[in-house]
Amino acid sequence: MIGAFSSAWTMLKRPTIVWPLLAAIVVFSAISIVFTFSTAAAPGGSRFTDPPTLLADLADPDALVQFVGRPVMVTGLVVLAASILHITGQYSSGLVRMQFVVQPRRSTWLLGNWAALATAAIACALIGALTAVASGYVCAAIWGVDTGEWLSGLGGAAGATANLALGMVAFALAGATLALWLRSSIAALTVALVYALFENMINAAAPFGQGLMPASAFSTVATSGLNGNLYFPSLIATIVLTFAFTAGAFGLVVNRNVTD
Amino acid sequence: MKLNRSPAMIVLRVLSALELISLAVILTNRFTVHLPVVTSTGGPLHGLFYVSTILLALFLPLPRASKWLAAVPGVGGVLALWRAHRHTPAPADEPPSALDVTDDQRRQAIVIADRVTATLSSDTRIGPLSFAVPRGTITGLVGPNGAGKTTALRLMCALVAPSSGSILTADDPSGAAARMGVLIDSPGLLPSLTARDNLLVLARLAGWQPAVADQALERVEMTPVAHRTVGTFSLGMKQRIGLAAALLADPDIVILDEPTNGLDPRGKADLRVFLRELSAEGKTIILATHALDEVEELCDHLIAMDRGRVIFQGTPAQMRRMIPETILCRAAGPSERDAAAAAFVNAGYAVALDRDAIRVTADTGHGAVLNRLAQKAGTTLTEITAERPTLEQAFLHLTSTRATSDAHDRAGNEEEDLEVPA
Repeated sequence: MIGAFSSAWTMLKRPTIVWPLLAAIVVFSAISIVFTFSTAAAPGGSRFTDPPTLLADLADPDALVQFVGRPVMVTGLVVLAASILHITGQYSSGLVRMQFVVQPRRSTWLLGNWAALATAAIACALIGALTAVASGYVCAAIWGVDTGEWLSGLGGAAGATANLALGMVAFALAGATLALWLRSSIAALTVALVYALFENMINAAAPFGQGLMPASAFSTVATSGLNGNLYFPSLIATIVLTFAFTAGAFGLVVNRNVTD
Repeated sequence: MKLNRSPAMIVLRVLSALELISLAVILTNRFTVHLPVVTSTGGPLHGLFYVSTILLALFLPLPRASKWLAAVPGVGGVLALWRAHRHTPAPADEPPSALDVTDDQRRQAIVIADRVTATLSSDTRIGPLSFAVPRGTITGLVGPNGAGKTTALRLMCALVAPSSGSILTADDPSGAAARMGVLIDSPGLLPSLTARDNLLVLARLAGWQPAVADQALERVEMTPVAHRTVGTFSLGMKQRIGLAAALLADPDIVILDEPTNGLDPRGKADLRVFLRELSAEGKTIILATHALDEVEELCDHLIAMDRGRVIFQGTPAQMRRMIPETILCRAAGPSERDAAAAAFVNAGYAVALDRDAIRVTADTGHGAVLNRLAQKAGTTLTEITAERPTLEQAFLHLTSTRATSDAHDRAGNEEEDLEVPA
């Protein structure tokens, strides 16, 4: 199992995945915080929140919690895309055939990939959270926001980071399952994006289901419920869905003709 | 366990029946008594059976068309089962073939396929295949494109599950299962990883020491470029790394699919030398190719396939013997040629005239006899050349014979159909 994890981690570390992934997370996390401050600095505060967020509101102790959860959708998509590329890369190169010959227990291969993707997702969450917090301090200095009370909100920020990590793990495993099913990065990314639009439409038509379907459940958990949905039902839905995706992935991989 | 008798298949049958029955109950209720309880419970139940049928069909190794058919509302499960049943081969019903593996072949074999069939997700079927790969040989798996060579290789290394029959690998002398190294289709490398990291991905997954990657790189003389990314390599270098991947942890059986594809003449020659070295170490090499010159030069055992079936197995010499040898005789002029030809025919030889030459169907050792016959007939032969059939000629003869016999079978069937009284 450790060998399988190490093998998958070696693949995840390849430059075509790791550098774009890190760059996207750092850039989007920083931009989202700059955007938060710049819109809050506008006359009347940010028009993107209700009630409008003012610069003075960003001095609150829970500001760090908001910062950590701010870039969730983009970070989630980036993590999902990276996990899709990680899995489909093994199929498209033909590597998976060699892997299944040297390791006939396919569940070991899958567990290794799952563990590596989950670790990468947690690392992305930590990097995203640290970037967001660091960007928050820089922006606060630029816009003259008092950060004196932020330290008292550090515990909340740590909790928000844990939630962000859980949400990212769910996004990563959902992407990997989709990739295992379709075995094509373009098809998997297209299905993921079309599904996200479809889920948005369903949520608009039937608001009682918000926070229970995959994309909204994962993002509700990742934002610690700050997106307006109830946290605990989303947490349960995320755990159930992640197990369901994992079971589906096992079902797909254990089907022995997976490489034909 | 056969798919048809697997518990999952039985569950699929039950779900399909429930899907159909629940639909019948809902429709009957709708057009007759209108019981609200049936409407309120029947609908969700039918939906549950419908979704369960689709999901189960999706995960079972059914033909792709069956998986799609399962999504048809109401009768999808039944349609999927019908389609799967139509496409399930029934090899047990087929008569034993002359190409089945003999006990003698079985004793010497390292890989034995016993009436194996496989259905791929593209609905392509191959088999039943029976063959034995003798231990320590370079075995060529030959056949035209689409003959099923790659699928046969995938069956050997358990990448594809047989629908029926079995394919077994004999133990090595220590009693452990023989280890396999494969290079199928393409080298299977990630271009943005270094050569060494590509091998480490496999070594770590298998639980082997990282040192095996270095040893394999040394074996294929790629140590100097071990830390370069594979994306910068030429095709020949990638093929070498693919070979190194196949040779990780010193396998007993090396399976190679079209390994010389895209290689320049130098690369091909190097590969041939390398394969001979591996064979000299006692490894069994299974080489799928349609380059018969390569097979002729390298292989000491052959398995020929055509349209998903094994049509020959034996040595290259045995395959060549499937078409008669000929001797080409030339005489000084047309009258001498005709006289010699008459003498050969009188002696019982089959001859064919070819301009100034006579082509005699006979073993190549008959040259001296033919010369004597010509001298007795008062002519002198200016040239006697033994013509050994090439492997390519033998293979073409074999496949054309099979195509002809298939055409005869079809014609026979059509005639039989016509003879059925109206």
